[in-house]
Amino acid sequence: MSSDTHIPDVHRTLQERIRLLSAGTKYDSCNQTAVCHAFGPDGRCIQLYKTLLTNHCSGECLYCPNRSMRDTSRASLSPEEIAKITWSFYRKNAIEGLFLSSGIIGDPENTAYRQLEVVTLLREQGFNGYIHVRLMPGTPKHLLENISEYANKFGINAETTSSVNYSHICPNFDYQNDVLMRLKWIHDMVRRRRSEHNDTRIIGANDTQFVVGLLNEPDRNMIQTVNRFMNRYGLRRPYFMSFDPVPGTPLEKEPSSPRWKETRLYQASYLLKDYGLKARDFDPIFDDTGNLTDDDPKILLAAANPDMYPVDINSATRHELLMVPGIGPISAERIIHADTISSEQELARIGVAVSRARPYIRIQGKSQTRLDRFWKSGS
Amino acid sequence: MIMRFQRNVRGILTACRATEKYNDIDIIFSDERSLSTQLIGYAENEIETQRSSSFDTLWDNCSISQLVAAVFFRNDPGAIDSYQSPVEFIETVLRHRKCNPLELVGLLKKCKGRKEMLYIPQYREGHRYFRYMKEVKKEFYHMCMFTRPELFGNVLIARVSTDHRTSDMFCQWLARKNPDIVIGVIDKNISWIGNGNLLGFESQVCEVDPSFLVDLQSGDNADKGLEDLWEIYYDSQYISKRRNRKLASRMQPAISANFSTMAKNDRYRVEKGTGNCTLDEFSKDCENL
Ligand code: SF4
Repeated sequence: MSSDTHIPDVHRTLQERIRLLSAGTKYDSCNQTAVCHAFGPDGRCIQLYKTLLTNHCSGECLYCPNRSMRDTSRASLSPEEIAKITWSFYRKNAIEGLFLSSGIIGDPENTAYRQLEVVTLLREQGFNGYIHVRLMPGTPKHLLENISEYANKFGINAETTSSVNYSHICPNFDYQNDVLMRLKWIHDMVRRRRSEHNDTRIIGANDTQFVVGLLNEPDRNMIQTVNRFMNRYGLRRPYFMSFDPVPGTPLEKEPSSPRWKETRLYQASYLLKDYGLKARDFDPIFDDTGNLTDDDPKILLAAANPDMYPVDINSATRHELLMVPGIGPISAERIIHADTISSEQELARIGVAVSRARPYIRIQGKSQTRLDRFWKSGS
Repeated sequence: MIMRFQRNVRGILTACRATEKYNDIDIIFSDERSLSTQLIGYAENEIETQRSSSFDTLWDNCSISQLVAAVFFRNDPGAIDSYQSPVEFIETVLRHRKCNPLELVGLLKKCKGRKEMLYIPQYREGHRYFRYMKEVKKEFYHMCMFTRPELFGNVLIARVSTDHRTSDMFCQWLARKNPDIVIGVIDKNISWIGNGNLLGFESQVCEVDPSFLVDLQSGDNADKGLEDLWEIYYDSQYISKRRNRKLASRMQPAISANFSTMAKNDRYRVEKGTGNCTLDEFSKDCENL
């Protein structure tokens, strides 16, 4: 046990508490496509002040560094302190807003009250920036409603893909009731707020995070769940966090999830959201255990459907263009609206990653086969 | 006949229409910096002649969107919004230090009514102007990302050094973000005030004498200690197992270090890395505090 784990909050400096509580949120993704203000040495952007209200927690989630049974340094920040730090960073143009999460202070209701206190205080002080609140499973509906008055985005982490797995890793909560029902309420609230014309705040879509590689959940289940959440709860972007065993937790001996898994799942989620694919479209590219391999899923999908290629750039439909590796939604639109395209250079100017797209396209009747491939094929 | 237009969106669009209507005119642009989209100003000698002709009275009363519709008559309803706005394109490239409004008029005419051609360039000038647009936007975004203003009393002052005419845009952006306080942006020998209405100015963003901002800086600098706090926060967000210097250097490019000391320090830590800051590491660190 480290010597400072039982130091009471009052004896910690503000700096110590900021460090502890922000470190507790470093795995939380908060991308909201606004201005990023700094990038860490790991290449991830910093655009919000991310903090926990407290890392004291009465929950016992098996993987979490804040679980009640774990012997660790604990600290809290008051709503006033969080508001003050947020303002200072915001005025300094170092952030766009606040991402607020917390350990459970007694029960979800009490925790949500404390979170509400922070966001109310900031808005009452005239804070104009972005506020993202990560709520606790089981947060009562009336508090979700109250928080939706002030926050731009709020959501509850699903962590996993099924009730059985969830009850195993988060024994204090119920997946159906405390998570899914809340995600449904949030979806309804977001839709209602967006339709209210007098509401000028940007209301984000539903938001949730999954832990990747926990309990050996196959990627197939993850992709199916994300697809279902997109349809049912209006989920726009799922967040994925690779499982990393935390010392002093029951899962400390479990292996870490490989980093690439997170990346491949993000790529798959973009294909679901922006390319119009369905979960079942990924079936040909899973391995025997229902997992993705460490390759670009779009290239694997193209390899699994060789009859679709090469695509004629000047006559292809939007969907056909989107299925070409190296062509994204924006470049597909540009191709459709451009005059006849006659060279790879023109495609490159439009924003196509030509080296990736080359094997899958035809420009004015000519396949863009590279010479080395041509010779190898023995033609 | 020589016609003079203002160097702004309305001036450019009207010049396009004028060159379509009259084959034999020469056009020139007045170079005064102006944010207004007021009516075009013609060269003094020509005013009398042109005012009485049919085209200018019509065009003077046109809205910008009507002018856009007249110049970009081949509307493509399916084209995506991100490159649909000729107004944004013209406004942006006009800020580039190398932009020549005459060339720009020529480029717009070559689009033959298709606004998407501005964003899918197919001519040499088209590529150049597309690059101008990107350079201007990049300079603006970099300012928004990495400039760290200082708070003096109730005034937020930012120092920038731009290659293109973008500091007023930045002032406007900062003012929108902080509507409750006065913003000052100092760009070499040009100074801008944002939220000027709080000081009794008529417009939200306006150019002021640099000495005016010097006077405003007399309040206490409220930022003391904040940079240390930021460093603690910055370090806390780093996952050491995921160190990715290549990506980090690309995202936080060396140029970011020119914008502020905070960005400079962040850039330094991108290169050097930062210490671990996990909860457990922190406990160990505390013993050494
Ligand atoms: S409720 Fe949240 S903070 Fe508490 S143990 Fe579970 S995951 Fe960790």
